[in-house]
Amino acid sequence: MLSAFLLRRLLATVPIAVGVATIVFAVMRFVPGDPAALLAGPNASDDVIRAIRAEYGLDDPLVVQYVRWLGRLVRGDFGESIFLRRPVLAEVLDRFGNTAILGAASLALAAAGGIVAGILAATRARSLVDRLVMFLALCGVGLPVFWTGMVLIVIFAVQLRWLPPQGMSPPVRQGPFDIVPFLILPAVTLALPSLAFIARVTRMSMVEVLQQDYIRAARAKGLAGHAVLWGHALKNALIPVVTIVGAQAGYLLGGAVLVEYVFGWPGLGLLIVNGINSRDYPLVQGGIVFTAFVFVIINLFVDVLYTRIDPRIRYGGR
Amino acid sequence: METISRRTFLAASAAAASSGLLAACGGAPAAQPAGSTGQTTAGPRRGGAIVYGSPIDPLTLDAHAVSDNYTRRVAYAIYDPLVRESPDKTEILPALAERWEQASDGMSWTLSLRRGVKFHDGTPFNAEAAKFNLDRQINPDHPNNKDGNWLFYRLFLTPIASVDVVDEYTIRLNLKQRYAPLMNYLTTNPSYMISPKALRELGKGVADRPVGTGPFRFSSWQKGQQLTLERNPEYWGQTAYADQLIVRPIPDAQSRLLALQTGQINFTVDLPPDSVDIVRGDSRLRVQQRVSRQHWAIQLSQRFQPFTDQRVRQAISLALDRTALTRDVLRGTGQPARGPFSPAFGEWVARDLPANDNQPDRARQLLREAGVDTLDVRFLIPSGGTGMQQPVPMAEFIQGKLAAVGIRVTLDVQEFAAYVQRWNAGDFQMSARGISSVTFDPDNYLNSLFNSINFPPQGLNAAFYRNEKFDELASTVRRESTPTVRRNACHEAQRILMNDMPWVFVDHEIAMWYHAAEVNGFVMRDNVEVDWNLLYLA
Repeated sequence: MLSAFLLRRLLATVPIAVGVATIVFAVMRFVPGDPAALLAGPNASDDVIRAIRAEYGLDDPLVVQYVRWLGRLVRGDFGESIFLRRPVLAEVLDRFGNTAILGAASLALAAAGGIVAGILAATRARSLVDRLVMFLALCGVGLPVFWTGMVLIVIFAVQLRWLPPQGMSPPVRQGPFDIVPFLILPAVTLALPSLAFIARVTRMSMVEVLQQDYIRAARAKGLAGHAVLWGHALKNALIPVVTIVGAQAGYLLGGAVLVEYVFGWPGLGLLIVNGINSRDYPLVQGGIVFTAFVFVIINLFVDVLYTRIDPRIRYGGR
Repeated sequence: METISRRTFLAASAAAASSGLLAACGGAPAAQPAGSTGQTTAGPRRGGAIVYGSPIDPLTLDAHAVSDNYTRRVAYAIYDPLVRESPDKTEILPALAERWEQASDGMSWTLSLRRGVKFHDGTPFNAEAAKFNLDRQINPDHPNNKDGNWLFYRLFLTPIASVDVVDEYTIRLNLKQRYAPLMNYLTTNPSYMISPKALRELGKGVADRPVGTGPFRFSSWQKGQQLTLERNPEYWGQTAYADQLIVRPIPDAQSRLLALQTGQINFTVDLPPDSVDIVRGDSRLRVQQRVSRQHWAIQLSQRFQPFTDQRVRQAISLALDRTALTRDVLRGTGQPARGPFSPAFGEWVARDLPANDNQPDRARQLLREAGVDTLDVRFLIPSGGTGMQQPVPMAEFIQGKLAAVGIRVTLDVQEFAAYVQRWNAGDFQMSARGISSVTFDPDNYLNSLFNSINFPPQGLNAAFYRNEKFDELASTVRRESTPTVRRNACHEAQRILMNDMPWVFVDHEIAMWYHAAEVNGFVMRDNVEVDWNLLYLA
């Protein structure tokens, strides 16, 4: 059952990938700017620029370029970056590992912090704690990450000097865990909006569940407060939360672009931003198609996760 | 010429510190460079790492494929050019070539190469190696020709027809046409020498595993994170003082400042303009500054009606207040310009150019004489970009000054890539940007920007300026080999340019370098290179 569902979902990624590929191709070409002119620099004459265009097939009609690119993409060939002159897929995979570290750390922080804060607020609904948590959550959702990032750097890196302001590792590596101090600030920055959002959803869901009859029944039969909360209420309250956490995983991929820029975190987002500025079409297209693919996989994973949490959910028709 | 060593010219450049061109700020005296006699207490010390915060990750470490200044600056640590520029004056100095001579007909140059130089892989540098490197870019049949598109070669060195090996340490460059600035352009990365053995084995893979002759050799590279270079103990010149040169890419200017303040890096460039005061106020940091070769100018298209009238163009220049602009908008990071050539061009700058600045009454009068009552202009500018300074605040200031003389300016702000596309096509009424030169030779500015053979889209004469007398002088500068003839032609060309005023020159950017106080031995250059081997920690 599940495997048929998986197969169907995996097949559904094909039109999504083609759609994303088409849109990103079109958007990059409609934005004014010429990678050949940018590569050639302010001193270049027209024949130099023309030669570069010819080299990368940029002088062909758009339809030809599109079909050629898509054809190669289907065969797993992401093309070559115009500026880096290296295979796009190798660059993207190189950088994606770093984005994944940042994203995973942020997601863990956001989920753990958000759920705890949400429960705290829900169990003390309308108290001062509740209002404070919800106020902070509102700020967390509203503040742009590039601003919070800068503020955190100024406080913790420049003033207190507890943590490094940017980068991913010290100049001389001291083992695989030397990235931890470098990870803290960007991960917290990236996690904050998601954490706040998860806290709000958890609180809402929890408050609702706590008013259900079965909770009242559990209390009535004399179960301890914490047993009711953790054993009965939380399990049911978490279903919408899991959906949100899954969606936040995608959001984190997007937010990572800004956070990577502020913290100089060498991830995929930074690569794509540089690609956009230099109109490196193959790099941007490849990077975004890859990101879309990861996004689809994450969503699929979340859907499968439902069946584990909530036995009521079954996939596969019937 | 032969025996000028880096030590000698560094001693000379220390003297230049008092000339006002080069100034160390932050309350500390200028660092004493290697080998100079002076009041230094300890002298250069070996050890430690120079950690350079670079605005970008190097795009490649294949010297010939380099096409941007930030990457070239890093590549310069690994490679040596045939010749290099003096850091403090307009002069070409020996590097891998010790002597050079132009044939009497101007159609070839003979270069005597340095002996006893080894690449990092132990193979010798000689005439065959030099030919192999240049042929890679010139000759389509060369086995490594398809490794890249050799942009800098194509921009500046296409007049080279072929390279002959005369003997083991002599090469001859045969030209297609007379080309006076040849040696100037040979200071750039097309003449950086890569080990032929490495090229044969790795091909375009040298982009990730560079093998040169320079003061540092490759150690490791985590893309986007860190490039680590280590001292080349067998360097033919002054071996590097630092054990390591570490390059960390930090794209955000504000983050670079923070990284410098927290000691994560100890050497950087291109910080936000308002950080000068922050750095000056921090006793652990230093800032060095020097006027660059860049100019920031307004282009007035000759295809737009009232700009064909010289009086209107003059009026625009007279309406500006360059002193106020550099002081208030640029906070001292620019110097008012009179022509395209900043003081960094030395004797190429014509001394008698008029200021044409801050005379609004005269501007109004000229506009009246030209019959212009009101004028509406669209002003194309980039939102930002390397070497563009602060286009939007600058353009707003100019907008205000022109409004005062009756010219209504509408700003058309474009993101850099979109801007460049329109600028290169000459698709504007009025535009502005910063432009820089890779060499102190005037050929580049005069011919590519103002010679009428270079109208868009073939060339960059984006204002469509045409003056036959000027074209003739610019061609003289390109072809003639006698220095005085070239210089006189260059000065005359500037006078014509300032009279015709197709471009209104606004300012020259003052280049700034920032480093930790412990970093010594830094001598600022006008070009993008840094003498990495001379930096030391003390």
